[in-house]
Amino acid sequence: MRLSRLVRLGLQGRKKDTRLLITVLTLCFLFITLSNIVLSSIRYSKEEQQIARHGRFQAIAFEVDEEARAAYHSVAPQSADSLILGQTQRHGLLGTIDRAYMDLGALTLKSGRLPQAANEIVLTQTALEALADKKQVGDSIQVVLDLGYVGDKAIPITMKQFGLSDELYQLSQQSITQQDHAAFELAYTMRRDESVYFFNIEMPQLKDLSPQEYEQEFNTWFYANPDTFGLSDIGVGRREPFHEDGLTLVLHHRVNGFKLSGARWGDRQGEEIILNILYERILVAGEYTIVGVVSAYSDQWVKGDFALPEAFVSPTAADAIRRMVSQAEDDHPDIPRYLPRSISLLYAPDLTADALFDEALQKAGDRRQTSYQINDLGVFDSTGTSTISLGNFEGIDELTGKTRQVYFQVQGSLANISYDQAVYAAPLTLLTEGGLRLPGLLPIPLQPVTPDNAREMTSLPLQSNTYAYPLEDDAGGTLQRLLPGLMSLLTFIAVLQIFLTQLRRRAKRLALLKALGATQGQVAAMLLMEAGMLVLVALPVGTALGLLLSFGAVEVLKAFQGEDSVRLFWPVMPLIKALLLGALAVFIGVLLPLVQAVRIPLSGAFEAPAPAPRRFKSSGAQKKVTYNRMVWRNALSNPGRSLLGFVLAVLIILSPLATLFLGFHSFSNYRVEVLDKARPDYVLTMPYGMNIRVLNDHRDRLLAQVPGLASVQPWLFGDHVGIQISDQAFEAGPILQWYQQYGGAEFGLIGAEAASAITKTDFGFQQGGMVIHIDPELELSEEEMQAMASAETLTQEKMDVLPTGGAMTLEELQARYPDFNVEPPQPKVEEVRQVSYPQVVYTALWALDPELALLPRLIKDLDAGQVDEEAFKKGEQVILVVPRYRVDQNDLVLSHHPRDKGSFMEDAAIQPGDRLTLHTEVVQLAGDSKSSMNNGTEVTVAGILYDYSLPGVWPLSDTSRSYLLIGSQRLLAHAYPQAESRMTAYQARYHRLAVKVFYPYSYGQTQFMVTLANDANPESADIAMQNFARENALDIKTYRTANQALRSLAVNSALLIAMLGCAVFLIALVILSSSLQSAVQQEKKRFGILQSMGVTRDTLLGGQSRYGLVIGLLAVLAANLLLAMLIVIVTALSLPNGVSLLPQLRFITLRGYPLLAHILICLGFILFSALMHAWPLRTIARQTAIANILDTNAS
Amino acid sequence: MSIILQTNNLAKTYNPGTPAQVEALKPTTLGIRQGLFTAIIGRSGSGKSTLLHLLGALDRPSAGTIILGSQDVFSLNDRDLAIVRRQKVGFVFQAYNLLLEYTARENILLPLNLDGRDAPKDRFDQIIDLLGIRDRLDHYPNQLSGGEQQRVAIARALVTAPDILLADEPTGNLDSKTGDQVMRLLRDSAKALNQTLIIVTHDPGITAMADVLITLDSGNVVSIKDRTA
Repeated sequence: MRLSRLVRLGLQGRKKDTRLLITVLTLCFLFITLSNIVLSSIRYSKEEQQIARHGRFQAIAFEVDEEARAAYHSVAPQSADSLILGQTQRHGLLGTIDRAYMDLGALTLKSGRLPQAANEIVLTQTALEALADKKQVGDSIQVVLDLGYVGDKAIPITMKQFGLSDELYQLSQQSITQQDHAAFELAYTMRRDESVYFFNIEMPQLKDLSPQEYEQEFNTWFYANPDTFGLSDIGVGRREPFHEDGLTLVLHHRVNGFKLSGARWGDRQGEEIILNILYERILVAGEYTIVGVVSAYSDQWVKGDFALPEAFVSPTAADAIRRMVSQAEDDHPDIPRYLPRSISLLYAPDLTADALFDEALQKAGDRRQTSYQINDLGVFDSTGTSTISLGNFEGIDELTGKTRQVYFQVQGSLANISYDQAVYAAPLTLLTEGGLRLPGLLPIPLQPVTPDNAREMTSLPLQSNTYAYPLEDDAGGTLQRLLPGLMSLLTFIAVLQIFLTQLRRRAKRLALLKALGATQGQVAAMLLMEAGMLVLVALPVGTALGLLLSFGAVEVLKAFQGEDSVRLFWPVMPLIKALLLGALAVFIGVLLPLVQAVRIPLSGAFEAPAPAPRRFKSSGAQKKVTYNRMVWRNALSNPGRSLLGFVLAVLIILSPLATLFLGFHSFSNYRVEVLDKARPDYVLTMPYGMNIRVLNDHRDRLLAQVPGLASVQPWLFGDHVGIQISDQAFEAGPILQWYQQYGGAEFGLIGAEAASAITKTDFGFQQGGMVIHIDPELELSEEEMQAMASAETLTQEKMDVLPTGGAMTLEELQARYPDFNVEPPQPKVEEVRQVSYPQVVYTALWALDPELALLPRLIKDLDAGQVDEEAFKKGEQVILVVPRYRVDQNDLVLSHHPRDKGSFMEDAAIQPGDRLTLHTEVVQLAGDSKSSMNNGTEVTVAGILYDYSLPGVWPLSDTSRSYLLIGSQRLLAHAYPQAESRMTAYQARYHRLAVKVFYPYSYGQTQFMVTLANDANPESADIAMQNFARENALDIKTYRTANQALRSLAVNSALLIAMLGCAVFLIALVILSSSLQSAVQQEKKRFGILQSMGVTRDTLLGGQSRYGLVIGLLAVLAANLLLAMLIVIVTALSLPNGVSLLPQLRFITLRGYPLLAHILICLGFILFSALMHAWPLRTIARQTAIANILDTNAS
Repeated sequence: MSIILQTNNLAKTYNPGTPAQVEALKPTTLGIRQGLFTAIIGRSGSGKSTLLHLLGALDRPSAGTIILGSQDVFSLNDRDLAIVRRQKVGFVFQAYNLLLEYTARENILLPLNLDGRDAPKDRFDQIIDLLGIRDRLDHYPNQLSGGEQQRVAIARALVTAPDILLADEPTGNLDSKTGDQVMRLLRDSAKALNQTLIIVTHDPGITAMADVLITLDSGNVVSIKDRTA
């Protein structure tokens, strides 16, 4: 008989054993298949969605010139380009478009077609909706392309730099008379006598001046006098339009020079002396017909700091524009060539996104050496726009190496740069390419681009499409890599265990085979063949079942995450690899049993002799033997088997418990970040406080305009509210002690926020060592700003540029600024920092919605105190939110999050009933000092919340300030307008006007928390929200996708964990029940003997059930212990500093754990264990004693 | 001598209705007399073990009844039948069938413990001494020789003071000398305790000792020889 036939018959003969093996192996292959398919479906669906949403291109390159374009195409031949013509005045960036660009970028044509003729244009949805008048396909629009400054030099424009030419100077010198000197001396003296104390000018006596000083003073007066040799600026803009081909080109340029004014120039009066021409901008205008509309980018494309084209023309149109501009360049040789650059979408299907990025970076050449970060406050980008309008940067003096402050101001695409009393105009592009060269300074250094920082630089003109091709793998990817390995390990263990168990029973027969002449090799081959045959059956069946079940699994995912979230995807190669790995695990699992089988001695003495039973301490004395004790004695006399059974039982109960915990845990991130805080889908922010009328109006319009909104919750808050607490409070409470350490000034923890608040709402203008905060929205001219500066720093020069062209008398000053105090000069303030009161804590004041709808909820949650609604409404009472905190080294770590409840200490410094004084941060100029306080509003702390236990109050659950105040809107309004009387008259006038139009507070913000209803269409809601934000000048932050992503991640992880848990559970269950079955079979004879001694069936079954019950209980205890250890270890590893283990466990790891389910599972298992142990015995119990003893079938 | 055990058309068929059907015992009617030593003899496959197992209520018949005393044994429920086995019948197997995890003493006392009874001390001592296994009481079965194990098995069967003692080839696994010894012990103890002894054997030595001889062949009782008559 051939060996294979022998093996096959053997397998068939050992029906039960074979069935067990096939069942287990089928399950293994089933789970291998199922888990692979589900994981892949999730991953590939996500990738598909990301590519469909964010474009198929792997990298995007901006600023691509011809050379770079060729280089990129060599790396990624399937790239598409859009030639960028420039920025239009009302329609965003203008570029060209073709099918390839649209395809790679996942742009769709919403209506119409692509442009072909020279007068055709296609707009994005965003650009179309941004038009003031509603346009659609077929309408025509006027597009004005503003090419900005096209120069490549920094041109000095200060009049003084150039001075007069020698010739003109000689002329003027000849005309100076004695009378001129006399007039000068008179004017000088008069000015001296009438010196304006406000400005605290110390004017020297003429006689005290040195000859050079005298000359300087004289010249300044002389040439500034319009009757003498006056020079007036003729820096006027000029235009030169010309038309061709339906396009109009206008060349704006500025002429730097001066006009000779003053009669003393004689017949040269009125002459214009041109120093240089500054070409400011080229405008190209044309009529275009809208032929199509393309989908909006919104935030779907990765673009770093660059702009994307919103309007597209055909190549023909692009050519026409370029021809015109070339013509202008030809006609005006001073204008350097303007070479439009393109945006390239790079795609190479055979490269990974990372590989493509690296290669493209190589090819990009020197383009990547572009520097952008000039100073801490902001950046310039190479398209010629800037994120800041005023600031300083440092240049290094060529000769001395010392740093020099270079001050700049941006107007459009030009920067006016001044230092050393010279003013230069330079295009922004110059600052970013090759370094700005100013006389006397080293070129401004560049920030080098390395492959390491390249990926993070949002200002690099090469960006990797990390939206469509995310860099990092989420947990799902890790799990996918681990899962086949885990399943194979499981298979290996199962096979090993079963084969070993079965081997013991087969030992005799195998020995017999050997006695009949089988060699060791043949025995080994037999076992391997067995394994092979089993795999041959189990693999296809298991795989087929897994494939079938995967349909179901994907449906489950879809039920949780929406119809379009997941698509069934069969990963052929990875699945084959995983199945092969599983099959390999089977063979490896057989190896140890194989080795043992081969070594079975011919005597068959492998039939393990009845193990010497344990010596029980029954020394002579008759110990009563009950059936229960017999059961245990029997179990303990077979320690190996009993232990295996116990371990399997532990596995069976551990897998659902571990699955429950890990599944629960995979939702913890989602719960913490989204559910607990009820993080909204969108947050709209207005950087100032709205008055109530406008607030409600906005809310109503939002609800009407955006489909599917569930709720809109408005919040107003004021920043930089100082709260002053009584002295005693500083004795208690670490928070206040902390404040004291910082001198009551900007609290370290909120320092960063305060700094950003300063940047956001204030502009720092440094003059003579003092910081003056001015609201940039007031848009004061430079002169007016300077006029408000301290008198001490005003110099003669600046006085000259005051509107009257000369010194101001006191009357003139008072007429202009009625609120200015006229006081004797005050001593100079030494401090550079802003003056602040000690023992004041800076924080924010949040105002509840006008109807106080949230107040009852807050009152319910108060941890201390009571609130009188009327008093609260009036603004007399506030609720104080005191965060919990812990000390981490020398830092106070604050949290408002309810999960940190147990970790943190409370601060008892402020109690209900305490009175606080609220000061609002307002600029007050008095003399030459600045104070920033308002003698504020007194309030009583009515209630205290120690943490935010209330989900749904998003802004408060997300901020981690120190003390936080909640009051009514009336209080907020009351706290701020006091500022009005402290403003300058000009500011006050402006402020009053502004109040009438939109806001009563000078500082503060408005936020709308918007939540989407469950059945809303998210995409259209996104677009509608963005449109609303744009129309109403609101900032929008969309959390919807992030919330969604967290949820998806949680659901996916939970599903995978469930699958793994299921696999372990089922396999362990199958093995255990088979173990129990065979154990009982082996004991058949024993049961027969007991029956012969009169043990009833009930006793037999009862005894076995009780045993099972106890095993179940022990297994539950062991499993819980293991799980607890696991939880403790995992928690301990991720424990933040300063937090002790127990609170972290109680309040964070295990918060919300479904304890009831856990208990029910344990109880269920105990009962199940009893059943499992008794079940195999029921047939035996029904048979006769002798049938069991003789091991025949029941009759 | 009254009949203690009466069979009426007692029959046993294995695998009925299948090709492997075996009529191990054809309908048999006979009576076992109380206090006597009855030997059941026959060739292998004659049905003697089957008859013995039925008599000891270790098996269920396919047809017929057994009356023990005045009770129809197989009309009893499981529990009452078990009680019968515990209290009325003692069985000695050819293969001893001791429980390996218990000492000799514990094996002997098992049936009593299972019945919730204590062994009356003198009875226990009497049996032990009769069988001569006092010094082996604390040994485990795998530490005892075949003869010692068989004696322990006999002690187990005797300790419950059953009315009927059944033994299936009790000396089958023993050498002739030991076998003789065991046999004498059985007979003497049965006599001493006034028990009815039924033994299946094909040992002529045992046959010679018997009071009644029942011969079976192919499932049929072919002769009953009563030597007391």
